[in-house]
Amino acid sequence: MDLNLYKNLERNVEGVFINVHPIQRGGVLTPEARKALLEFGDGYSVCDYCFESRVDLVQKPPVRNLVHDIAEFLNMDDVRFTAGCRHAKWAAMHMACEPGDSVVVDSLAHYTSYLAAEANRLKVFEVPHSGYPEFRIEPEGYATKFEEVEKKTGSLPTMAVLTHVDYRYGNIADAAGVGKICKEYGVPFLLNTAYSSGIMPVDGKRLGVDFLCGSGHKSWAASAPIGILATTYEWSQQIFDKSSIRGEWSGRGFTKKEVALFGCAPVFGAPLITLMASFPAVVERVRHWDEEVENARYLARQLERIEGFHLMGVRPAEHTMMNFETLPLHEVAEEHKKRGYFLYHELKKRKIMGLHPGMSKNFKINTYGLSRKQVEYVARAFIDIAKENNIPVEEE
Amino acid sequence: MKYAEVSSRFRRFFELPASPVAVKINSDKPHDELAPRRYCEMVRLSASHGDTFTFTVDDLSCASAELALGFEEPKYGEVYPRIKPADTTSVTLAPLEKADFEPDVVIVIGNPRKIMRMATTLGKIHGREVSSKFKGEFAVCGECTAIPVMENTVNLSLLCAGARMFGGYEKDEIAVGFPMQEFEVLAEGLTRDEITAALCGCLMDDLPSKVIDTILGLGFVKGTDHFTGRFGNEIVRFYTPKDTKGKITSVTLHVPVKFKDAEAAMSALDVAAEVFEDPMLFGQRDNWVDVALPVDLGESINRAVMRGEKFNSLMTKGIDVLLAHVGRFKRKSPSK
Repeated sequence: MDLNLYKNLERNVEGVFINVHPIQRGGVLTPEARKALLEFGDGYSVCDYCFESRVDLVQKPPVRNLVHDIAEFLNMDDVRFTAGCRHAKWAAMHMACEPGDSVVVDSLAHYTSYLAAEANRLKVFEVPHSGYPEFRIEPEGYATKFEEVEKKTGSLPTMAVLTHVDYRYGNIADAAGVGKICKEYGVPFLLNTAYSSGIMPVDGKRLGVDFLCGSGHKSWAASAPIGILATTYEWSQQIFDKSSIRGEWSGRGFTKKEVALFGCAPVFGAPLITLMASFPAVVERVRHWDEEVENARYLARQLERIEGFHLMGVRPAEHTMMNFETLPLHEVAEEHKKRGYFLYHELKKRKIMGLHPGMSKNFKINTYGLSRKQVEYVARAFIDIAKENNIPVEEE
Repeated sequence: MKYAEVSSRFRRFFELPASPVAVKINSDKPHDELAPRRYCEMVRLSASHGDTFTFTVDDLSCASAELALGFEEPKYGEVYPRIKPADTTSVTLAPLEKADFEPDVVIVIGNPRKIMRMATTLGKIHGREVSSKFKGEFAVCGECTAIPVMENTVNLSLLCAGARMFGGYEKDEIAVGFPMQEFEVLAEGLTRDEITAALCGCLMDDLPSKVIDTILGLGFVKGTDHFTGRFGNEIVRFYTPKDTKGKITSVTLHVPVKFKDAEAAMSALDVAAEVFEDPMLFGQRDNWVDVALPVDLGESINRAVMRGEKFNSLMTKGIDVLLAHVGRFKRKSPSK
């Protein structure tokens, strides 16, 4: 063992690089969160004044307040913290469905939606997307699929899952449309807001959502691992059901502990405190979503000046996470000594990081939280790289 | 420990609880002071506990192993399988990751499912079936050791009564012996995606490799959800839409045409309506007009690509038609 490997760990990113990583932008910590992380980084550090045996009930630091405030912020009734959005999805499915039941998911869903269903032994049915180039999910697809499931299995699905913003193209699905259909059919609706709540306005009740799952480290300026599971009072008792088990010899019981959340999650103390510390900034920043989208659209316009660069998905860009197809970069990579890694290296030279190393046929990029000046710098960098490699660039 | 990595990779890939066991015949090492044991038992201990042994005939308690491993010539008639001539002086066994010698044979113990996967992988590497000779006698010593040494072939064994009664082998275990070179070939093959991605032909991707290869052969490269390729001055996208049942019976070829802004794109829609005749599709997306040509295959794409030249010609013609129309559209759209 070389223990020196674990000493003096440094990332050397903040303040040095412009990070355009598709899944990291919404999770960048606020200065307040960084400070709180140092303060509460110890294990069980939020449990100094735990009198209720559950982290969501701790009053100092004000976790109990945060639960209520996040519920209000999302226009939902009740909230718990989980190990991540994936755990929130698993927990909702686990408590609302029985093994063998069916769930309907959008065909752009994150893999963890499928895995959450698989872990709960549920059958998955998919709502198709519209294909190239928009990859759009139409709400009507849910009605069609519900009827198909009923025909095949004899009953309606137990849950519908929609990815509010898909991780592949950054399309914003019509959640309200799906919510309306779910209400009509009486199918509970889970909305995965891993790329939406915390960076853009999300109103659970208006969207007709029964379960809303969010990712602290993707979109709420919090450290991983932390997720949010919000629900309505109609469901909260069932989803946050308390333990009823008894030790057969000792007679011990844990009646305050919530089963799907493993009772209490004080191990999420450090990330939870960053979620809390960033919360005021998050509430403020979602009000500026339009400016963020405008920055993203600016970048798309600039990048599409480069021959063969083409934004996939719904246009104009609806989200700050975008996916570009870039065949000319691949053609350069074919001749380049660094092959597909040339783009990564060229960007690194220009102090830009976050594009997947080795990717050149297409790439995802996220501008969330970057200043306009930084976005302009990123655009210029791509244009310079294109010009240096003889890829034609349109004049402005 | 040059074999440590290969052993670890092999065990991880085939989900083996025990180590592959390296066997060296004619070891010139000084032998250990051992209480007499069966060969198969020592192999088992080496695999499960990480023990190493160097033994001579004096350390063996099984007459079958004495013959099979080449310590003794048979006195009455021929015995098969065995190492011959019988000039073995000692044998060394070690879990592969600890082997500091060049093994002659590697023995792997596993359940039938895991060994089935080894056979499938080996079959993919060599492009032929794996043949084995076994009858449930002289198993670990003969079928797993002597046959690989003498015939230089991989050999499966269902084990023998002695191994199961005295050697510590479980009811659901079997074993396979590899000549070292074959083991290395197999271990090396585990790093090759084309060998391991679909071990028994099960699809690991939404498109079979034959379909992908055919589309690549047309001059496209594969992206995440679609293919792109440069044809003349245009980049054409090749997409494989699925019907409601998930079947692919058509493809769509796309060229998005860029305009200076959304207004210009909208004003070009009249021209598009004139240029793009049925079955071509077009639609505005912000400052782009997407043009697509669906090509009906009349059968699943898996079958269509089997037609070889016919499929290629259909696609090439589709690309030509699309590009000719896009060219006309661009010429007739002055605001572009």
